[in-house]
Amino acid sequence: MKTYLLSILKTFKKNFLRFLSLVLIILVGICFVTGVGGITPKVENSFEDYYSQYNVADLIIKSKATTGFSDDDLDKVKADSQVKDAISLTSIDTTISDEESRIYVYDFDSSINKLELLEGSLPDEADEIAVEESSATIKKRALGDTVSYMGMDFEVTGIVKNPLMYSKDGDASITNIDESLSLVMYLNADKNVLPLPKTDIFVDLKNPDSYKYFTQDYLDYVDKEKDSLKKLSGFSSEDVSYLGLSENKSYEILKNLGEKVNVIAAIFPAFFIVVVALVVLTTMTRMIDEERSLIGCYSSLGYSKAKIRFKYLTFGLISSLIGIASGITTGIYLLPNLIYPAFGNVLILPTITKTVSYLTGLISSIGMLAATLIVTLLVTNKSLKETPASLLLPLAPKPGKKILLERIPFIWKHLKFKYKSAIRNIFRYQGRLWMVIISVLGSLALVMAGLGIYDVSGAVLDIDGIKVNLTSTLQPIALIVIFFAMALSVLVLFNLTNMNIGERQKEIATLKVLGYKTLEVDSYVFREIFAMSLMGIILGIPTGLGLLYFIFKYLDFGSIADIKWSSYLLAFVISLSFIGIVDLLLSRKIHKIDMNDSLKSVE
Amino acid sequence: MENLIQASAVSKYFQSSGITTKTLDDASFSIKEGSFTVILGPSGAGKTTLLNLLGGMDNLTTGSLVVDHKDLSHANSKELTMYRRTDVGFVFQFYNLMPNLTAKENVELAVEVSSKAFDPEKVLNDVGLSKRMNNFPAQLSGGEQQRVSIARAIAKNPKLLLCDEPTGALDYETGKTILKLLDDYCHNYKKTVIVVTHNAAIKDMADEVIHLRNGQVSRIEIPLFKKSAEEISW
Repeated sequence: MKTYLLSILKTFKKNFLRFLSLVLIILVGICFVTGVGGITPKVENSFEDYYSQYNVADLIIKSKATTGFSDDDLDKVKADSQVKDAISLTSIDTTISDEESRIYVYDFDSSINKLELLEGSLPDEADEIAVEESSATIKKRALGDTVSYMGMDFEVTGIVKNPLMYSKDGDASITNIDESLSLVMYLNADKNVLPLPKTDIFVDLKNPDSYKYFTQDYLDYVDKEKDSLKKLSGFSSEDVSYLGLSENKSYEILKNLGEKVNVIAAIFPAFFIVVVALVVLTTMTRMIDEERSLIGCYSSLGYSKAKIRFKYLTFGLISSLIGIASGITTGIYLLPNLIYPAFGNVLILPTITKTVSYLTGLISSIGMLAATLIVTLLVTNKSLKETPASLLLPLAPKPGKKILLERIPFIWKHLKFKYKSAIRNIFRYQGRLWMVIISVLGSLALVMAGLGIYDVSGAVLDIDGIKVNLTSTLQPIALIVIFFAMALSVLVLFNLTNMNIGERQKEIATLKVLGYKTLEVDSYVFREIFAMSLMGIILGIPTGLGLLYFIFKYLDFGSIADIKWSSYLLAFVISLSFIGIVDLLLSRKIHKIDMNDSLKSVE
Repeated sequence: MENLIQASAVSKYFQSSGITTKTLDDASFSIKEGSFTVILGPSGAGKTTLLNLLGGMDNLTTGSLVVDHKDLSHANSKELTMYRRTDVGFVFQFYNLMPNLTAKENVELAVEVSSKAFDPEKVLNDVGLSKRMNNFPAQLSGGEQQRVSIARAIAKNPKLLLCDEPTGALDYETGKTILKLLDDYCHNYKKTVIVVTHNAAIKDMADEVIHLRNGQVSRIEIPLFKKSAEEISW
């Protein structure tokens, strides 16, 4: 048993580079999927916390009549079974010295839609006010400034933030919808001397199922409640309007941005995971092929199939578990926390929530783990089906054969010998060729798509008449996609090249014996990998465009025409330089191949 | 004839976990240009190590090894590469052909980097493979593959042909035809051929036999009656 465990340990030592690249590829894939999937939940959960903390009004009933609401009206609303509490207050939009302004007469002690005090103190006298924090549209005011309204001078004693107003673009004035509010002031309802009607009823709903604010369930629940309040209160729909969070500008912008990010979070990881799974498949297949004589040896010594299977399953399991665990941990914290501030360009952000969302990460991890184990099991089983005797024989190299191009002597005859060899080798292992093409194509398509999103992220998004500039939010996400896609392509290329060199040890040793110089050997080996990768690159750009077409369609903005020509060039150059880097890294491995070891055995 | 190879007190040590193993210990000998030499010895005698040193595939630890006025004991890896490229041809027990190249292309592989090479088709003709030139290794018998391997080594037109157990993987008759091929090359082109083997029967066709035992040259023998490849048997 001890020897057996030791042999498992040796598998790791012997295949360290393979183990490392498996771990890293899975890490990058899972980190990306978890991270990107966690961005929208992170932002929404932060606002969720914020809404709960300040108990945002679920519903606002707004009177269009100049008289406003009476106490009886308020009681009617309170009588509804789903209403937890309700308050009536004043909210009037008007123009004060050429500024679009909103005047609230506010109950600071009420628990509904509490204001956050940012600076100074809440107004305590009839001639004191608090003002809303400045933004792109709301003018900045300092403590001690005065505002004149209805013949009275009000002194600003505090700066506050209303949980209904966190869009940096500011809310539109209700009386003049083309203009944004420039001043929002709050008078203390207890001290107020101005004769103003109660125009609004803020309603706090019971929400018995604790629906989260950004779910459809919540919106449906509020809509149902609107209907029931309409019936119960008997307000005519000409006199009042019912406004839920879905009619709130800030909420709408956030929800829309979140959905856009979610589209990216859904399409990209699918692609990512396919590439990663393909690489895992190739790596494990190659490993089992390399170890076949060892498997034959164990088999002939009487080790059970289960024990042999377990050995390789352990390798697959441990590699993917380490990759997954580190991928999830980094993904959960790194990406959402990195991206969160980007939303701050459009929205005034609350404190980032500690709640983490790992649903997408968990699902893809389970998928990844299952895929690795199934692949390992299948390739191991394939080898175990052979008799130990045949396993002890090396896998016969696939015989060379004529390729189609050779039947066109007019081209073939004029090719240099080394190109003939490369071309024939490329087509000798068709499965390998496609694996390289698809992996390179996949990772390049991701780079291309990231660049494309970056290019169009300057676009202005029109959400029901509200114009939001997406640049600030989507650009960092596009950069992260590009970064991860690049990391993936380097790892994919490294892994495939590493395998290719491993497979051709004997050929490389033969070249060395024949007196091929270092550079000549390198180019003999890399020429093929380069050609295969180039095919992947050439196919990768249109695939990336296809991916972008999909993304743009679901994002509801952007078009292929917006992509700069420099992005095509960049994607191409990036991929080429990655091949260069990988070749440089792995040329050491070629130089280390020992002529004697490789040539003296049958294997 | 002049000496092509002069080995003086050649030693090769291997260090492994603190233990030094002398695989070659103070070996001295000389080999004449154009001769057919057999290096004979049991497994572990240091034959392969010696072959590696002669072929410029490895560095010696101490001593001096001069081949064709080139001092291999002080050569760096670049110089050794150039030495292998122009001066030596190798024939291995297991052929080491490129599986994806035809017989002709395998020969071209060597010719490509050599300036004074022979025409690949002519060499393949000489080794009797005129009809198999466009076949891949997998389509050839073991003997045929070894012929390709010899053709590849000869085509570079090297001064020195090194053969490591060239008949080891072949049946008796085929083995003999391969030896004949090597012998012919030696005589027809006046080239030096060294065959490393544990098969004592082969020594009868040598001009000179270097006996190795435990890493040392135990005896140098010059057979009185040199036999042809057809005449020997084992």
